[in-house]
Amino acid sequence: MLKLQCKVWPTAARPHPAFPNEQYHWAPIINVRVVHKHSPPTKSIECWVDSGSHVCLFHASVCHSLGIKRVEDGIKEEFGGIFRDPHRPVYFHKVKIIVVSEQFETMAGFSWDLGVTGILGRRGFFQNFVTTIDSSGNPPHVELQKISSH
Amino acid sequence: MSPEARLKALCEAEPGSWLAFSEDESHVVAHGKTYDEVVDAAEKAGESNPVITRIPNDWSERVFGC
Repeated sequence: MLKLQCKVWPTAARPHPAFPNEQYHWAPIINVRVVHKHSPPTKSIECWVDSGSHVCLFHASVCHSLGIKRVEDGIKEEFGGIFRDPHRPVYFHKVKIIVVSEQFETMAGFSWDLGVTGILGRRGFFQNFVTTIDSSGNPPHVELQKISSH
Repeated sequence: MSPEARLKALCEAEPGSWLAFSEDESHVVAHGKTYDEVVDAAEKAGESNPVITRIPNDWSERVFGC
């Protein structure tokens, strides 16, 4: 079981009109590293654990360090939802994602339009970890139980 | 790093930029306009294992679903 502390993220407006006593919230943001083919791993990058996303996504700025010369050479899909403008292109490449001592391989999307560093979605991440956000403590924790494959 | 210190670091960074924390996430070690730039800056600052995050263009709440 991996137990990782949630991280502080600013609220949109400070103070938030609905939560006037809050300047921030605790978000399920964890550190991962990414590998593409035989590239060295990225540095630790902060990614959102997000069951609302069906795939893992990363900002395309990390592509160069992964040896991906042209992000557009990946498999293209147009996305809405997470982006300000609908139908923004995302390009999929096969990567390995390292979470502390665990790792898994998945097709992950890369986009120049992603607002954050990365998103860990259902395909890949949630397929490999039973994920719990435990908000009973302060700070809250993300608990990851690796799903053993047979 | 206290929640308040992390909040300050995030909010003071340039929108759309990249921020590097020290390996133990106790302090900020570098800023950059791209991932590569912030990694280079962190290494020049003596931190070979930084923790990298991207600052959004704005802090508006997003529901990450797709």
